[in-house]
Amino acid sequence: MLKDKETYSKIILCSLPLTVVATTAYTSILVAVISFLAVIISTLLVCLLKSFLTEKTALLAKVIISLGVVGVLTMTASVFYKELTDSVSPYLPLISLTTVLILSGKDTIEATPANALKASVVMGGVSSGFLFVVGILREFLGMGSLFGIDIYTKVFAPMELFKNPVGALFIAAMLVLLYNILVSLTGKRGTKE
Amino acid sequence: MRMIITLFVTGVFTSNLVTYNLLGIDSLHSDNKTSLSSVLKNGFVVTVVLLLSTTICQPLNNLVLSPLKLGYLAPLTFVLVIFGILLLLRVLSSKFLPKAFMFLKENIKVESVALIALGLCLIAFEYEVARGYAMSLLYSVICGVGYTVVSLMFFAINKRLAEVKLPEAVKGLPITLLIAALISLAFGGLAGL
Repeated sequence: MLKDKETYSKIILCSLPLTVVATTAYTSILVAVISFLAVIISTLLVCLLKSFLTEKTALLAKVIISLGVVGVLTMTASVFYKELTDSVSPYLPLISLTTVLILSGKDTIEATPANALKASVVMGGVSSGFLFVVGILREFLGMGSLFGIDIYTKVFAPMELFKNPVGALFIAAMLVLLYNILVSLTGKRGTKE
Repeated sequence: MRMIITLFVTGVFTSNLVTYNLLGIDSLHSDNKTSLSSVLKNGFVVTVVLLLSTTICQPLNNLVLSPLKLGYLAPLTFVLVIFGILLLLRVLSSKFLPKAFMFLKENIKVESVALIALGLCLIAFEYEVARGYAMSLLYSVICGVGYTVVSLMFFAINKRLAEVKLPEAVKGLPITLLIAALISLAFGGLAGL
């Protein structure tokens, strides 16, 4: 799945708006978990309701279903982690549209629930993993800490650039670049063997 | 006049929807906008959708949802309004402007435009409320102009990059993200102007 360059490019591009709030490890975990669950639950609900959906209503139905799922997940998260959820709340409804964008290539209306679930777990996993890694790196490079624990601020000054959305873009670019280099290296090794 | 200039600098440069809120990068990454006119048309469509969605969503939020304490329904309402606007544009253009309808059908990705409009409604509303209705409408147009400016920059840079031999690992998504990061960094320099 990940070797399909277009698919992972699309997932990362669709997840980019959410990286704005993934400034620390905790916020990135919250956004990643909600995003992952939203992709899976929305896919399952769309599959279950497919007999009621037509081609024209499918897109709007997907958006409304995923908005509902994100709303319920946000409310649940705010019960346990109110301050953390409030800090990212303006961006959370965007998860619904990123979910629809992520799943737009895979026709969940046509697919069986098992296949759709399998695809959504992989795609949701890539998206959430990307958000989590970006959050951790932004906290480490931008604030000099990890999970709120100070790592190097007494020795070096952290690079404040990474607190801003520019930092998220640079980190995303470097992660994709690293992935491409690793894929090309393993590909070359595979052909030699 | 000073406020309008401040709004212009904010909407086009420092808080640009693409480079600061990272909305709509997926639509800039796709290669379907091969001519200058299609880039400008795309920017015009986004500007119109942003203006119409702010025209309807802001009074709906201020006069209906907030007084009735139904703020949690705001994302759902906004999405329905935005999709309604996009549908209306399609229906009207199919009847009166067949060429525009073909352009909308072939080049505009509904989910991406909806994501940008929802992002503006959710993220920028808190700043817009303090400015008043007329200024909000102006700000939405300025945000559309900001999107068009970034689209034009992407188009120009991609055209130049097509003549350069890039390393294989950098091609595609990494270079798009790096361009976005550098534009964001350049625009960020105008903060506090």
